[in-house]
Amino acid sequence: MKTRLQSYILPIITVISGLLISSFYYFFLPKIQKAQELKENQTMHQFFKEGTSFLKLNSSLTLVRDKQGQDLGFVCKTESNSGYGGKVNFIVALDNQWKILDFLMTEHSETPGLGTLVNEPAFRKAFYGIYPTKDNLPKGKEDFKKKLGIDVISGATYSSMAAVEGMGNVFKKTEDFYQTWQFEQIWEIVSNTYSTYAQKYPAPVYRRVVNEEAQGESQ
Amino acid sequence: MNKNHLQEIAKGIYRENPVLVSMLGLCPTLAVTTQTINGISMGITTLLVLLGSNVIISLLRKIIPDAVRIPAYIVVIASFVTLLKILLEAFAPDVNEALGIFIPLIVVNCIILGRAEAFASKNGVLKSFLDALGMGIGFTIALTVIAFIREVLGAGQITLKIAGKGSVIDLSGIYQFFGLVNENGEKAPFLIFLLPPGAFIVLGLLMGAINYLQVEIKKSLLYIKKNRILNTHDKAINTSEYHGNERK
Repeated sequence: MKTRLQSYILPIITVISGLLISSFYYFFLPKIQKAQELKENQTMHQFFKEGTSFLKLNSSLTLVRDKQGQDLGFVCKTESNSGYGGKVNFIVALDNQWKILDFLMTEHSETPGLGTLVNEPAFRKAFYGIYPTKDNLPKGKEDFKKKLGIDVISGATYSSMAAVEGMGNVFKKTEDFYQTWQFEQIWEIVSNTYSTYAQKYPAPVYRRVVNEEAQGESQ
Repeated sequence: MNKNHLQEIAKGIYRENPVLVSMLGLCPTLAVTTQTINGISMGITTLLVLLGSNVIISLLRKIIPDAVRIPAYIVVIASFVTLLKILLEAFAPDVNEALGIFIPLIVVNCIILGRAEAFASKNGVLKSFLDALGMGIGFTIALTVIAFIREVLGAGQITLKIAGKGSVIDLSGIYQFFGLVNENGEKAPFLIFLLPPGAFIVLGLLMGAINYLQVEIKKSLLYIKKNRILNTHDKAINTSEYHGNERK
């Protein structure tokens, strides 16, 4: 009887632990979410000091505008699965032309003191002004010096490459909006050209010539 | 607090230091000690988990059956680690971010399981608490010393900054004084000390040092003891001779 009773001890301890952890988590979840939001906002304000409105376009992309309503750039949440400790999340700031302004590694399992050196300004600076397509980013650690002008972080090759992969995933995360933006740019160029042309030549040249000839004949 | 209680705490710090003498918890010791602050924070978080788990296991020691004691201890330890992680996420997200993967890894730290199995399961709550305190402080000191040496030699700085507070002490001046500079005149630390081989070298040397210290202390204690015995013996002989002479 005693042995039978004793066999219930482990499940009881497990259930109590589970209840304790879940109630703790339930109780502190709003606080955790608030802390995460605060951290994200702080990072975004750190990237765009003049930014006053942060408009969420989708779960990964935020449009940043200043007081006058001018677009300052975008903040994109991206990730890489090839970190030394697995998944690594990044927050990337992009300017109006979708070039990298700055970035920060947020959630990660990298080795403190080695992998975390990705967040050091000296490493981040190498990415500034880069248009984050795969062609502009290094393909391997041999390519680093050529494409970014620096070597991979000593002792943290995986983390350095994870940062590159994270930057390379920016357009994957923002595909629809990026395409719309590209279309808008082309549309702006086309419409500007058309309006200039329309000012110079109020009617198409062929029609005008034909009209002028027709008027001449009638006279 | 009496002498026994103090001895219980001191045991974990020096005589049975978990890292330098018992060689327990070497994985986090080698992995986390790249910055001084990491050593300190990892030590303190481990200390907190150790205190909680030792007290609870000591309370439950008579209820937990022998056959399932290890899984039960692991559940208790894992629960404490998870609770600590939730608290850090809620109240100190920067510290949680800085320590990263090493907080969940406290679950498999053999110091905690070792103390639960070897001490807390056989002793009362107060003794287990003091044991955890001593072991935790011993672990923190060992980690801090290793991290300090590794960072000074491997990065040429001392990081005492966490969650945006504190400072980083740059040792460029000392490196320049000893001529340890590269072609640009910048400090050139020994990077190997930040990598795993450097961790093993520092740990090995510290273990050797504490071993030497312990042997020397033992020798000097034996010497003192021997002298005391000889002195009392001589005194006894002299007194008997004196008495003998007097009788003559």
